[in-house]
Amino acid sequence: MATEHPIELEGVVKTFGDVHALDGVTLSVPAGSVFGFLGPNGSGKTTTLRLLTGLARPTSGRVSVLGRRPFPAPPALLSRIGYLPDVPRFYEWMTAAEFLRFSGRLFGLERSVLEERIRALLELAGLAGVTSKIGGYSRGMKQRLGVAQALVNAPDLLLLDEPTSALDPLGRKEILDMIAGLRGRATVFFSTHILADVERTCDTVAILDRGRVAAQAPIDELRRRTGRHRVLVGVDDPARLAAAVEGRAWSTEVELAGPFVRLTVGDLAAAQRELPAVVAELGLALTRLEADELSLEEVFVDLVRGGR
Amino acid sequence: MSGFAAFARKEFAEIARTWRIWVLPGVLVFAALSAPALTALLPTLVERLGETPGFSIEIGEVTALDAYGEYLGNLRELVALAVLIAYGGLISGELRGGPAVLVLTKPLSRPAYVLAKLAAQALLLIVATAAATALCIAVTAALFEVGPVADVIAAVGLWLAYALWLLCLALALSAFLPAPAAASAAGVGVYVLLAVLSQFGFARPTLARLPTLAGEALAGGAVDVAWPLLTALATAAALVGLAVARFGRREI
Repeated sequence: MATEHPIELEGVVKTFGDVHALDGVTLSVPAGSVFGFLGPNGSGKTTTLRLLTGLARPTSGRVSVLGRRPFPAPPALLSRIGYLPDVPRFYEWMTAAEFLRFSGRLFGLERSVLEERIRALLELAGLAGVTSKIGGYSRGMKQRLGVAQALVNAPDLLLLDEPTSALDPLGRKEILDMIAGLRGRATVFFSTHILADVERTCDTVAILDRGRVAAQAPIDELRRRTGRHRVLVGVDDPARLAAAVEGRAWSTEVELAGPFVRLTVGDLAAAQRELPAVVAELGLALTRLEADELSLEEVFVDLVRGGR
Repeated sequence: MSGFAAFARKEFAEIARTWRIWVLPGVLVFAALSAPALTALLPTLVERLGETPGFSIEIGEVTALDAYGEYLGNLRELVALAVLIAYGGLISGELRGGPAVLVLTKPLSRPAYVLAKLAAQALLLIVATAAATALCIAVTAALFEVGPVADVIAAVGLWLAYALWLLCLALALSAFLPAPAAASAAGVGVYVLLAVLSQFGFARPTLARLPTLAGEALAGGAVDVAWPLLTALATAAALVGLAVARFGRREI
C-alpha cells in the first residue's frame, strides 16, 4: 500500500505522570524522503519513535504509520518497518549471522533470499567473517549490527534512533552513505543530535524541543526562515571594521575570525549595500566580501533558544 | 500467531546454549541421584549416630519405595521452588534492558511471544523430569531393586502437572511484575499458601491437593485426580490468558 506520508502525527501528547514527554506533536513525513528528527536530549525523540513502532501508545492525538495505527502493532505493519533503537540489545549468545537469520525468520523470509541478504548486510556492517558471540562486541559493532538487522526485511520505512552515535568516523560515513542511498526507495526517519549528519544526509528536518515541534521544513527553507544570514568580510584591519559595524541596525552579531570579520545580519540587502561604504569611509582595503548561509547548528540553536 | 515458530526455535536454542540447560535439569538430576543415594546411606548414618552415648534411633529396612518417596519429596519442595525462582523473569527478564524491543518491533505477535516462551520451558520441564525420573529408577534399581515403577510414574506425572501449573503461575506473575525477584517471591507465597490450603478438607478437590495425591499414588493407593487436574487445567489456562492479555497491552 503506497502512502503519501508514511508517518503522520497529529496533536500527539504522551505523558508519564505529570511529565509531558510530547506536548501536541504534529508531524508529517513525505514518502521516499530522508527525514532528520533533531532535538536536544530529553526533547522527546525516543518517545516519538516508541510511539511509531507500537512499543507505547499516545496519551492523546493520532499516530499513523504507513496508514495504520501502530498500537498495538499489527504484524502486517511491522513487516514493512525496520527499526534501530538508541541502544540496541541482542541475544548475546548468538553470533551476528545468527541474529540476522533469526530476525529474517521472524519476517518469514525465504531461506535463499535470507542467506543472500545476511551476507550483504554483514558486509555492510563490517562484520563479515566475525564468528564470535555478540556478547563480546564493542558498542560500535553492536550499533552496526543494529543497523544491519533493521534492513534485513528491506523495509519501506526505516526508523533509526541515533544510528551513528557509537560509530567511528569511517563507520559513520558508511552508514550515512547507506542511508542516503535509500532515498527514493524507502522512507528514512532518523533521530539524532549530530547536526552534521543531518546536514549531510537529510532533505527535510523537524526540530523537537521540550515535546513540541519547533519547526519542520526542508533544510534550505529552514535556514531562510530564520531571517538571518552570514557575511564574511576581509579587510586589512578587521578590528576597526568590527567596531564600526557594531550596533548597526542590520547587524545582529559581529565576530573577529583571524583576518576576517564574520557578521550575522538580519537584513542581507542592507548589509551588502552599506558595508562597502563603511569600508571606504574607514579607508580600509577590501579583500573579500562573501554572503554565506547559517549552519544547521545555528538554525537549531536559534529555534531552540527562541522557544525558551 | 505470527512469528511463533521462529521465536520458539530461538527459545530452544537459548535453552541449549545458555545457563538454562544447567539450572532446572541440574536440580532435577541432583534430586534424582541424591534420593536413592541418601536412602541407601541412611542406615549407616543412623548407626554412626547410635554410637553417640545417650542417643538411639532405630529404623526399619530401607527399600526402593523409600528412595522414590525421597525423590518425590525433593520434587515437591526443591524442584518446585526452583521452577518458581528460575521463571520469575520469564517475560520481564527480556524487557529489562533485554532484546525484547528489537524482537517486538518485528512481526512477532505478543501472544506468540508469551506462548513460545511457555511452550519451550514446559517442554524443557517435561523432558528433564522424564530423564531425571529414569535416572532415579536406574540408580534405585542398582542400589535396591526396581520397585513399583508404575506407581512412581503415576506419582511423578501428578507432580509434573503441578509443576506445569507453577510454570504458568510464574509466567503470569512475570507478565504483571516488572522485577523478576518480586515475581519469584510472589510465586513462592502462592506455593506456601497452596501447601497450607491442601491440609483443609474444602481444598481436596482442587489443584492444591496434587502434591499430596502424588504421594498417595506412590504408596499404591487409588486416587481420584479428576477434579484436582481439572481445576489445575482451568486455572492454568486463566493464568496464561491473563499473561497474554497483560503483555498484549503493555508499553515497552
